[in-house]
Amino acid sequence: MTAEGLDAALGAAYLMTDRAFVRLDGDPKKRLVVRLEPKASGAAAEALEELAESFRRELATQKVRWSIARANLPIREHIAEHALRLAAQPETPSAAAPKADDLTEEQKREIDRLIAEVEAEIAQMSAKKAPEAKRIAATWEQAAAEKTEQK
Amino acid sequence: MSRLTVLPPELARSARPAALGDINFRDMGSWFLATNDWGQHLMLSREDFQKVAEGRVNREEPLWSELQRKGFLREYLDFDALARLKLKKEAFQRQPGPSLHMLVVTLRCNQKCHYCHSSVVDPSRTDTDMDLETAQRAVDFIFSTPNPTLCLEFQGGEPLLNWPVVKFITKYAQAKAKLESRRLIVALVSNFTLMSEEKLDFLNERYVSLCTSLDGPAEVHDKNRPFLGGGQAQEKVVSWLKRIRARCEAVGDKRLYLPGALMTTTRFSFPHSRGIVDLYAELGLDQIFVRPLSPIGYAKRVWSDIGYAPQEFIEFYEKTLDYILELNRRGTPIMERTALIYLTKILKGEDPGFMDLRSPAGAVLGCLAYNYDGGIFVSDEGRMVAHQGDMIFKVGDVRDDWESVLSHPTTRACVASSILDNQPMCSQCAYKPYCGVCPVFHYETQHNVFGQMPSSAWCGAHMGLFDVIFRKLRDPQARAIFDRWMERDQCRWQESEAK
Repeated sequence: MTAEGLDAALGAAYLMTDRAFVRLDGDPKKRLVVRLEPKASGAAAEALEELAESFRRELATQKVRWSIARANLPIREHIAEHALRLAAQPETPSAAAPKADDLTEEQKREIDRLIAEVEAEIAQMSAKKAPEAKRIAATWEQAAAEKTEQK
Repeated sequence: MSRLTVLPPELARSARPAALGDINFRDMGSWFLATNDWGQHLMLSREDFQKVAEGRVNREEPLWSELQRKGFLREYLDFDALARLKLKKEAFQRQPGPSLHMLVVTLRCNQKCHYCHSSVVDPSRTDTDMDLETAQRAVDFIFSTPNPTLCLEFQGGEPLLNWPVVKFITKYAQAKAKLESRRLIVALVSNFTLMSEEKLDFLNERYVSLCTSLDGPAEVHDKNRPFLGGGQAQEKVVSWLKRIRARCEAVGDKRLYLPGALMTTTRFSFPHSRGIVDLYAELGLDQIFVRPLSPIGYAKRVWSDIGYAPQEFIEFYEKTLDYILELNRRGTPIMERTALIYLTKILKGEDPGFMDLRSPAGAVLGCLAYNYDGGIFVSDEGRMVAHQGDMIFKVGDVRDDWESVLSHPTTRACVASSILDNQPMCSQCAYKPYCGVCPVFHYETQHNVFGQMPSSAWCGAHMGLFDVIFRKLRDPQARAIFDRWMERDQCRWQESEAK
């Protein structure tokens, strides 16, 4: 048996796995014995013959699919390599992040302001106690309103 | 016959594979579909396919030119053009890191949805809220990943239950994005039932994209997504969708995102396809996303009540898509998102950014999910598996560095198992150039990350969806509508890029 024949037999066996347990025996270089056992219990003789016929058709198609795949593998690899070479070429200015040094003074000031604001908020929120379990279903606004009322 | 389909016996004997270029084929009944590694496709009559398979197409025939142009003739390949097509189709592989970062700021939720993937907890469980330190570290970690464009998506639970942290992360991330000149999109996925004008002020001021869950008319939505302790959720969702949309339109600021909605299909949805689409159209939503439900997390436990076989979903999908096309013909231009994703791949040869349909999958390379406690997972589905007690898809913590997450054994296993050329059936499938597999789905349903495609529900659903889309592409009226959708979607993305 050729390597292509073995791949085709394994491929056909795999495709049967939704319907049958497939056992492959024998010498892959000479002759393979395929045993199909339907997954559905109590299959009639006709169903078994149908299963065998199904395997034969899968096998015939697998031989074609594997022949195409083998013949075209070097071409697919060549095109993939060519694509990688194209990808490695320098691109037009990309969206890569410029360094902070590239920012204007005005931008830097605004960022400092935002970060300070966030840090202040963290400090403020960290100081808060966790809400009581019974009030947790309340929305943020409801909780805030309740606090205002308490004051 | 397997799902992959077989050749007629006489053609299997007469085919001349040695003369054929790279080609995967599929018997579609009255015609054959042929595709190749570079994303090109041909829809051929059975006679033409036989001529192609037997190497009998003459150079004078128009079919020969088409075969040559699309890279199906081995002796006449334009290597440079095909390499460029491959690069365009797989552009996501050149992204230096994940772009989508899903932040679970709390597991708490005020709804108890039948299918909830997120496996939420009761609103009293504040111990499942992300704290500020973890939030800050999560943002720092996200900004340590190298993609120049970042999308932060708040998820839950219901993220509005941990509003202070949503606010903090938004502000902190936007400040960091400005500092590093990186493009940042912030998105909130919420059930909207805890929305308020004040929250909306903040979200609009910060140009946060808003999306909710809307499963359809009240009889479907409220059955799928009941409030804890009862009550009608759909009315609130619809009301907020209208209010948010009205505010966006009143302000007229093009940087604001119109609110979107996601629909989850359960068995309860099946009798309501028209009602669901009509509601979306009535609300002015420009698209509806008809997606199959996955038996992951909580949904796995209730699958016998709400789940379905892939074929049942495909029938529902086709019926719904037919109705959407009918509405389009009558002048209502609503689009269907699954079709748009598939069409972008098939007709434009581009990646629409949908993580589930990539080879390798989007896990870690395209997206990461952050749990409330700082755990990092390959995807949100991976996080849901962890919630069932299995931490297999955890790849790190916000206190770790990006390199350790990228090189984590689980990351590598997810990548290896989701490359379609590594999958015996996928590597021969006509849908290989456009499809993808999800390691988490197969781990959950078939107990290994590779899965077994002949009996995979994932494969069954996506193969069925591709069948529907390719069949519709043969219908000139449907094709014209699809072309209009693609044009509109392109404009939408260009507007989004400009924001």
